[in-house]
Amino acid sequence: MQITAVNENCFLIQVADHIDLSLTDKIAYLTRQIELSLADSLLDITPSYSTVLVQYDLLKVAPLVVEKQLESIVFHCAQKNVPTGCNKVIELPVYYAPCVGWDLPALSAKTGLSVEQIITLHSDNHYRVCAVGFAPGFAFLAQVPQAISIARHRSPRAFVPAGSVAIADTQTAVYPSDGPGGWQLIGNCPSILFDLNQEPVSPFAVGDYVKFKPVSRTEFIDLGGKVIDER
Amino acid sequence: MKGDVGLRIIAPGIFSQLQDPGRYGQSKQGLSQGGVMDERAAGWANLLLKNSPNNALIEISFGLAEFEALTDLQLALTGAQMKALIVDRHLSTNIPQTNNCSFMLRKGQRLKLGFATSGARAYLAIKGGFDVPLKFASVSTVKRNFTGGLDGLGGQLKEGDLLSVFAQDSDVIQRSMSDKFIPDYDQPLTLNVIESYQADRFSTAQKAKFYATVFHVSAENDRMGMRLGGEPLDGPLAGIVSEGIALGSIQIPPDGLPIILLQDRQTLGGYPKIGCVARCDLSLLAQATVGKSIRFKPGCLAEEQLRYRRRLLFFNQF
Repeated sequence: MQITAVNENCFLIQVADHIDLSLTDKIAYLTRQIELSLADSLLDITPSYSTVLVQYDLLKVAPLVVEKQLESIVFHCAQKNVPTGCNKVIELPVYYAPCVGWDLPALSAKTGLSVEQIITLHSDNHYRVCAVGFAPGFAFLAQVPQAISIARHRSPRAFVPAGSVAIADTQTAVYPSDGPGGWQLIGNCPSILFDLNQEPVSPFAVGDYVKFKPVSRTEFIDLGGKVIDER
Repeated sequence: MKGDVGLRIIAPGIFSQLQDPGRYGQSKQGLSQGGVMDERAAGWANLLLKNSPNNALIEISFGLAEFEALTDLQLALTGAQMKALIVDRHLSTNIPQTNNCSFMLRKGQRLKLGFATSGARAYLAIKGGFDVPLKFASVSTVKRNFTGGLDGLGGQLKEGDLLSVFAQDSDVIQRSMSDKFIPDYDQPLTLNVIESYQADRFSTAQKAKFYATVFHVSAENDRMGMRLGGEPLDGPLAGIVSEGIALGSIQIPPDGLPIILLQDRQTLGGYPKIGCVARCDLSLLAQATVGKSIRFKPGCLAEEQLRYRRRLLFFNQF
């Protein structure tokens, strides 16, 4: 693991330079330890697949002090097996159907799998939150079974409804808000996944697990889900 | 009296937003930090009124805005030159109002700004700050996150908006910036670079070209980032695993033309980065308009840390 200053008040901890699901426990552990250790002098922390970006307040703490704190945390993290199992499992209802999963028919045609098979493959799996970003509350989840992995659209859609459950290569995600997006849509989750009036604003933290639970159209509508036609 | 109605937006101009130093602690949820683009000019606007740098103020981009005082208000205007005028319907002529000093806008008077003639962004601060709703301790308007601003949804200021103010002190502050502190936004810009991130993956030749090239500000520039135009760098690097993006990061995407990531940047990105623009230099960059020449030179991390810390201490006097 490498710690480098990237600007006046940010350090980047590089755990590896590739995506590896076994890194997620380390990243989640580092993030928690840094939050505890830097406390008030921490301005922001941005964990991702293989790195943690740490921004601190230069008025409260000197760069050298932060560097020493980070070195100590990284040293301990490298020495022992980091504790696992402190991450929550988030179960999300999903209505898998072409009316909300606009790319489901195309995915079925491409893979030769039936819609039912795709649903089983996608929902019969625990996914790991590897990073949260791109948009508020957008969690990058890994890893989608190879059989249903599909590349992004060549050009993104101008409008993807909030709640859309989507695949890009071997990653999956739920779009927390309406907006543009290039991932392949296979369903919709009626849960609210980004709400500025809640703290935290989204349920996802790096290291958490996500399990998708298929629901019927009636359940979907009862849970507040909406069917929106493709524009 | 808390919450006295204070300033009415008669015209927001090209666009005007409520800003402060930004929203922190939410990056891991994917929220952008936002915050004033020119920390120096914004810092001065508050300092001229003996305010904390954390007080909310108005960031006026490119000008043409107009404001009306509903009570006597102590204001300060800094940053881009917009040929400000005080319009008083009881007077036959308008009174020119210079930048970079505190002044009084009396009840019923209007402050009218022209189009920016030098620089891009002006800051209008008010004694005690605006009394506006905060989200995660900040009013910073981040349009792409639907966060902050007067409506709490990332909206710009619009015609008819009323900004409440905290009780105005009876003692009038008369302060102005010494000329030596007033930057010339029309000078060509050379930005110090703290080499970091993937810097060691760029070849010596690529780096030499990066520092030798005179780039210019392209039309694709906003609060999220500034794309530069000019001669592209050769053999750009392959993408990297998405990682956290620090303020001022210089991304080199496949077309070989740098993008400097600014206040409203996304939290994660996967383009290789050669380093970051020095924090203090970002204030000058915030005032750069389309076509302005930009060069880079290698900076020293320790010196930039000192320079930035001194600036923070200076603006945190009150």
